[in-house]
Amino acid sequence: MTDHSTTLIDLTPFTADHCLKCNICTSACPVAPVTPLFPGPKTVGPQAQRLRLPGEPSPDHSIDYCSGCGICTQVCPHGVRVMEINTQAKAVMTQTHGMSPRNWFLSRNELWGRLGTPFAPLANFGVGNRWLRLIVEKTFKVSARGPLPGWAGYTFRGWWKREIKRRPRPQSAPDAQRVVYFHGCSTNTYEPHIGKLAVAVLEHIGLHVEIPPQTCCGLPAQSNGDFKAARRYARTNIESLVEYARRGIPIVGTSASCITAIKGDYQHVLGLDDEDALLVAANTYDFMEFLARLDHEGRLPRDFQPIEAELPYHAPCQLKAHGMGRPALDVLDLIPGLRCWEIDADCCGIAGTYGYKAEKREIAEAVGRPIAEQVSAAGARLVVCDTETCRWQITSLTGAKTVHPVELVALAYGLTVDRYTPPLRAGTAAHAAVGGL
Amino acid sequence: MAEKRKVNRCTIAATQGRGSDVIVIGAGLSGLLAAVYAVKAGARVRLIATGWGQQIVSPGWISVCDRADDDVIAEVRGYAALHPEHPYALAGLDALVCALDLLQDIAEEIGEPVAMRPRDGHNLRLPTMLGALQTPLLAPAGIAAGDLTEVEEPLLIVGFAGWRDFYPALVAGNLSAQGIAARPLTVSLPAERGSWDDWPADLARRFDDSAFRSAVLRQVQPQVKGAARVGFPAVLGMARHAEVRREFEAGLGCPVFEIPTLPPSPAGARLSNGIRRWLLRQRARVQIGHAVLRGNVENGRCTGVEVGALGHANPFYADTFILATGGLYNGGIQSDEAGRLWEPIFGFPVSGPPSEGRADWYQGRLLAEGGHAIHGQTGLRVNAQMQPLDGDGAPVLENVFAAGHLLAGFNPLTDGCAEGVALATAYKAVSAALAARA
Repeated sequence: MTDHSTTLIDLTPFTADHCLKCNICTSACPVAPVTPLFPGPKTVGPQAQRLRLPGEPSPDHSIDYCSGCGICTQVCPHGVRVMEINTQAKAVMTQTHGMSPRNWFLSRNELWGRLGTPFAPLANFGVGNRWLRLIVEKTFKVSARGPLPGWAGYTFRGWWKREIKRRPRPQSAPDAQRVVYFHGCSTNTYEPHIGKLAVAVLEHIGLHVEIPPQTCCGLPAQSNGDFKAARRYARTNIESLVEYARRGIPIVGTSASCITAIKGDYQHVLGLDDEDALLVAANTYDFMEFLARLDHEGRLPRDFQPIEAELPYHAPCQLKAHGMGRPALDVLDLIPGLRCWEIDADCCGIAGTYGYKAEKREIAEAVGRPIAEQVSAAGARLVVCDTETCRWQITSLTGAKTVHPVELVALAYGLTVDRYTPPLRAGTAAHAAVGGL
Repeated sequence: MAEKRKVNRCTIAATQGRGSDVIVIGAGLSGLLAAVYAVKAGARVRLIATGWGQQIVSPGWISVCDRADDDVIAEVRGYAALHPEHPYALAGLDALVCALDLLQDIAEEIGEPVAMRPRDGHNLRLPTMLGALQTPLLAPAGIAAGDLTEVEEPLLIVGFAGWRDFYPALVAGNLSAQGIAARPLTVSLPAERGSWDDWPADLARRFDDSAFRSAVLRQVQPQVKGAARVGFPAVLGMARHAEVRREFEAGLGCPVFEIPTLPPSPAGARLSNGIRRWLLRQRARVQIGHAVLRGNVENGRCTGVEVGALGHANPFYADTFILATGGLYNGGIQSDEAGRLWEPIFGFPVSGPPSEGRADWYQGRLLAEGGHAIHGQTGLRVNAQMQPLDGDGAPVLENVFAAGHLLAGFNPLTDGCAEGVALATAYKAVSAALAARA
């Protein structure tokens, strides 16, 4: 791996020069208002960047309390990549002061996902046991209230291997009808049903699905300042995906945050701006973004059964970073009877691994409070959201069930998969099903 | 013409999920009002902006015609009659009046009321953080309560020890020098933070906390001593602003008003946040964070815009487009060293002062009478439908309408009508866009 610090200087940190110190980012930051420990994105970002040599650490540790949600970058009217500057400064801090075992642990979600799978019942007992969690909180500083998923006990990749043996797909599809599915770690080990539904929807559309080797997107390592590991993960993915990108085969993923990393962070945070990385980024789509594009081209079947429901939708902070609007809402609007509305909230607070850290859990819960208030005011018991950690956080904040939008699309198409119960019913009987929602 | 429109409507109707009725580009005052108006008219609306607009760095008040001594609308009517190229003349007085009504309605609806002087239609006379007087027509209710037109004296001006953004002695001193009796009071804030400064938005949020504001109130109460009104820097609460003001008025036994300070403006943030939440609940889309790169044009119509996004640009489609991206200081108009001016999304012709380069734009004083030529002469020329015009005076695109500071024909810095123009032209642009769809 070559040293990428030169490209980092040239790009992201340079945007600090556009900062007018207007503080719009400070007034929008969801973390600064709920804790005195974080002085706000402008102070730790462009302000600290003014005279700081690239590679030098921040003057204090307050940057550690940045959640990395990126709202600052989005509200800035001048194009300063505030969050990216801050994430790079965090990496310098990690290099200078080392990484805590806890942060290393949280950065290796992919590893724990795979290791826990064969021992799912035991592992699930562990994450569900309050006393064990309190011990882990005391020793490792992983919050006992951080919503940890359970292991499914099988992997999505394992299921796919068996599935294509059981029902071999014809291999003769032209490239224009092929699509690559990037499942991410969570779908692989915690929520394989999301991946199975995604495959079912893509095949219903008439596409040939390919699932090449892949690893963690690298975002957890990046957020914790371990750029070395993040770049290693990124390289593995780029190498596996670039051949498809060269052939113009779209790469689609159901985790909006993994897709943010591939589309944007590899370049703007990790400094991977070679031809292969950019080609993969250009050909990668969020799952719902991909469906919305197909719809615009007239290629998305409209054989939706009605779903009579009015559901709140949360757009994760990392999805907002895509610049693709709210494709989930655009697609769900096509389903007769379904009326989704967007919750007014910048971030649910979990921000990847941030909300799992004991000293930050209270902050994460305070950041997510607007979601809880609006969901509760609407009396909703089901919330739609594109990213896994946000779904778990929203469930822990509101008590409501959460679904990925692909679950509603599959439901409206009448698609089902093994070992999965849809959250509600489609068709004419749906009124009764939704009455309590 | 009518037939052509009909054909295009069919095409758009077939563009399915992503097609909106109206795409508004820009999230300043113009863009927000345009989005609200279009939603209220029943349109499917998508608001796209690079970032939040300048209301967050502005005091929050609405200047319509600052120099008017009596009836403001009558003054604007007279002025527009003499200046047919001014945006007020092009948009028409009805648009201005309707826009001001709409702003008051939506502000009330989201719980952030704006107020004007009751009955007479005159400008407010509001103190600034320097103790000077400004004369906008409308302001957020808490700020408007500082109207000094008929003043009962004395005023008490309260500031906070150690805070760098507001000096009560400066305000009170300058007001007194103008014949308005005022005295300063400095109170201390409950300690909480470490070593960093508080911004107005930070302080406003701390006032949401009842223990915090009670500690402030308790220090002011014994010092009221017959003051007719008490002024604070405009940081009295963010989410609970109305509650904080009510509590302070009850606790001090007299009217309480706010004086805007440095950015970010809590009043502007409340307005933006409130309108965003309202738009989302109406199922409009609000996309802040990525700039529109270009418009795609076919046969004299815009079919969609491309947004610069991670990985690849993203297209968004609509029947009509409202361009409210701001002027030279806001990114809606770009310039270079050679003095060239351009509108980056559609490449609309930009009029500007004759110059050999940027150096010719400047004079000795930024805000001098008449000002820099670049402030008063730069912008898009539009017709009465707010359609940007080409060199021959014909509309460039039939379904794109412009509003706000990117228009030519007025000086947003010195004319004292920046917000009024933003609102009136946004209203007229949306009216024209909706009429074009019908």
